[in-house]
Amino acid sequence: MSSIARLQDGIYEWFRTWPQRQPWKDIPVLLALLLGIAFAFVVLFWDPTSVRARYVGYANNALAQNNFPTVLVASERLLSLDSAWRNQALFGVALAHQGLGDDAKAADTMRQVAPPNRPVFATAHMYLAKTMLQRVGAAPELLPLIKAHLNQVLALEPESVEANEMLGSLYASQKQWEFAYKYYTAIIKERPEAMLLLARIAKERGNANAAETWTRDAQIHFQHAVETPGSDNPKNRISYIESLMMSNDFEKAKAVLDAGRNLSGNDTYKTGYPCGFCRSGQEACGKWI
Amino acid sequence: MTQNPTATPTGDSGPASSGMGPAAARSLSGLTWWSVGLIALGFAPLLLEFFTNIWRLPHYQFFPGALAAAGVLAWSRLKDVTRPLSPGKPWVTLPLLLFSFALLALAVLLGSPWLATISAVICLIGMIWWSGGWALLKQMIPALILILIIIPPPFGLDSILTLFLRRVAITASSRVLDLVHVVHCVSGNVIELPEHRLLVEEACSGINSVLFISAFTLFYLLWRRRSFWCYLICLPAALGFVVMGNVARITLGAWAQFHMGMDLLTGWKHETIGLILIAFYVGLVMSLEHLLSGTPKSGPSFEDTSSNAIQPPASDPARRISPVWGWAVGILFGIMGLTGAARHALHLDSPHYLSGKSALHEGATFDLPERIGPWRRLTSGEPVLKKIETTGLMSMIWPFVSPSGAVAVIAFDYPIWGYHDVTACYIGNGWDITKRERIARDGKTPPWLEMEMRKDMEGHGSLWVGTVNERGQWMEVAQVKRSLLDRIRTLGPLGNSGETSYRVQLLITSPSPLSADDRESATRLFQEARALLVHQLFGQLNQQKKPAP
Repeated sequence: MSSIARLQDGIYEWFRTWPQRQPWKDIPVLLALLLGIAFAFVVLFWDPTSVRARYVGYANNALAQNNFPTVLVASERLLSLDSAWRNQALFGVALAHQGLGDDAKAADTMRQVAPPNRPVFATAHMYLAKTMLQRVGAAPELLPLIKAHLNQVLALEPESVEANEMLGSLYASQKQWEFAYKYYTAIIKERPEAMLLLARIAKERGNANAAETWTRDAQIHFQHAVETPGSDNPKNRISYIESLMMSNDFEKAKAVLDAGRNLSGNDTYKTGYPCGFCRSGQEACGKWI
Repeated sequence: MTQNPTATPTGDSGPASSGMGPAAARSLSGLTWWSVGLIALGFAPLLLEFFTNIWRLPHYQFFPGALAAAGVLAWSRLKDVTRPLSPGKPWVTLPLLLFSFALLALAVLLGSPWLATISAVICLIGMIWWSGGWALLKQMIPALILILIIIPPPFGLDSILTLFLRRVAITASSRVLDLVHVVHCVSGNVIELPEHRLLVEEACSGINSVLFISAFTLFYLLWRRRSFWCYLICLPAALGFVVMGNVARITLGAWAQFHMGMDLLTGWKHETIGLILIAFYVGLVMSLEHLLSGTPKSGPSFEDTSSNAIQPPASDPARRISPVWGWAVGILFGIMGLTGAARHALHLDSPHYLSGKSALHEGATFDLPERIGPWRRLTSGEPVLKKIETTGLMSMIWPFVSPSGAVAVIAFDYPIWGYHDVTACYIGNGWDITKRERIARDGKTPPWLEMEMRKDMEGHGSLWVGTVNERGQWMEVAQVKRSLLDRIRTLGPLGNSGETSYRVQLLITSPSPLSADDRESATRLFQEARALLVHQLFGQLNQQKKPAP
């Protein structure tokens, strides 16, 4: 008899005699077999993409809740899952260490993702710049470091509005008008209110024509924004008012403000207006306050 | 049964089955209980050392059970052998015994209990053949297989299996934990949860269970006289049960810790779950064997003694072997045993030879200066002292900083049982080893082990390791300079494990690989620190040896 025939006979014999062989004794191993199949399915069809997405969510949620132990674990897991997320994950690890009070580890990790002399991860460079900016009053020596980090952000993301705006603001505060002008110019598309700042800078640099041009452009832009039908936008209206005041048109500025108060009564209009900004003296401003 | 003092050592003489008297059965092989006793004596010292050593390894602590099971199997199979026993051909017996004797001599010379155990198994095979030829040996194969399972494999294969199983268990557990939404991260053999670290010990890796369940499966199938292909299914399946069980244990432990703050992976809970799992594995193996029990035999089985079993030739008193041969072999092995015992006794002069404990007194102190070359100590005064209670290991730590800002941590660890390869520890802690080299620059500088590693969080790691035993022998011998005898001695995992050793480590972690200058500077720091510590070590060891005034 061939071995195939013997095997066939054997299988037939096994099935034929199975009911007589106390089948309940086979139940444990059959259950284990099912469990093994399920287990193999879980292990073999594990999807790193969905796990990664889930861990990004875990890390972000935990960070929002200041749950730093979870941020740490989730970020470390992200780090092991995908090297493409390395910088993001390391940044999370650094924040977690900082939140847990381990400043040395936080600094070590942060140095990996945001060294001041090399562009690595824009979010981390920006975070460091912002953090240091809060302390710059007490430690003015941080200023070069802040600028260095902001420049690394721009090296990675040249269009970054936030970095350009911060650098413009830093240079303006140091009366380095040329640099401030350069960075503000880069953001007027996203931040039209920068036109007002540019007008002031031009005025400070003694360039009356440029100041007038920027003021006029700002007026046109914000007038259009304010007069567009729809809900009242206090930010645009205030910018419009400022541009009117810069061209000494106080009557119109007051009219625009009153219109805003009538239209929405937004709190912005109640708090008044920065008197020092206009040059008409306290009388005009005082009416508004 | 009343034992006839002159009966063969391989069982009762079976006069009813053979038709021959006990005297005839005795004289056929020439082996007597006395000669067998002498041969056993030859192996006794090193076998004693071997069993003492493997008792220290948790995954081999089932060995008494395995030996008992082997005995039971041998006894049950012995009844199937047709009597009288017909001795095997001398041209098989003689080479086996000679080879065994040569191996034993080498084992005594090198002090290798592992080699002696291998020699003992070969000798056992030779004696079985001598007593009963193929007919007896065939019946003893199951028992021999069970004996072989308690001998650790060479080249650290069991460590490799441990690492492999641990990695499989942790990787699979991690995937199951992802399924049940437990936020975690795996770093080597540690599963990190928010605010908890679960260390997956060797026990959890399944190595203990794997060896035990393999032995049990073998025993059960041999006992049940199953066919070969049943082994082919059951043994891998048993491994699968163990892997699944350990994944379940790790996953359950992590889940309970994450959601309920309950620690199931340490202490009595861990032990209890381990015992329950063992019971499950045993039940599953028995259930699987039952499931397969209705299948036909498609190949020969160990117990098959019927149609194709070789029948012993009719006993022929003319083939009788003189007992002088038995005595001669017994005396030769006995002399070797005495030599081994003498060597053993000499080593026992060192009071902690087998204990693995340090000969240093309790309050031994070690110190390193504030400066070694350009390196400066970060902390002054006493070193940081850490005692790992589970193993009794003392670890003293001194951090140093270089002018370039690199921080090197020097650790002095003792007492260590034999040579402990730190590679597995670093792999277990999540490091990827990128380079590993045993270095011996010249005859004057002791050798050391150098490793380069990578880890996601720590960046790059550079490690220097030097281990010395109480006899002043450096244990990181460069591969190229190792003698053949040294290679043979360290073949088995327990080859030199009786010696207490002391280890100096230097570890530098940095975001980028060390420059050649930094590496050279660190090498010099390591060599100088090692020389200082070893000088202090032997100074204190020698001080203790002097008689008190």
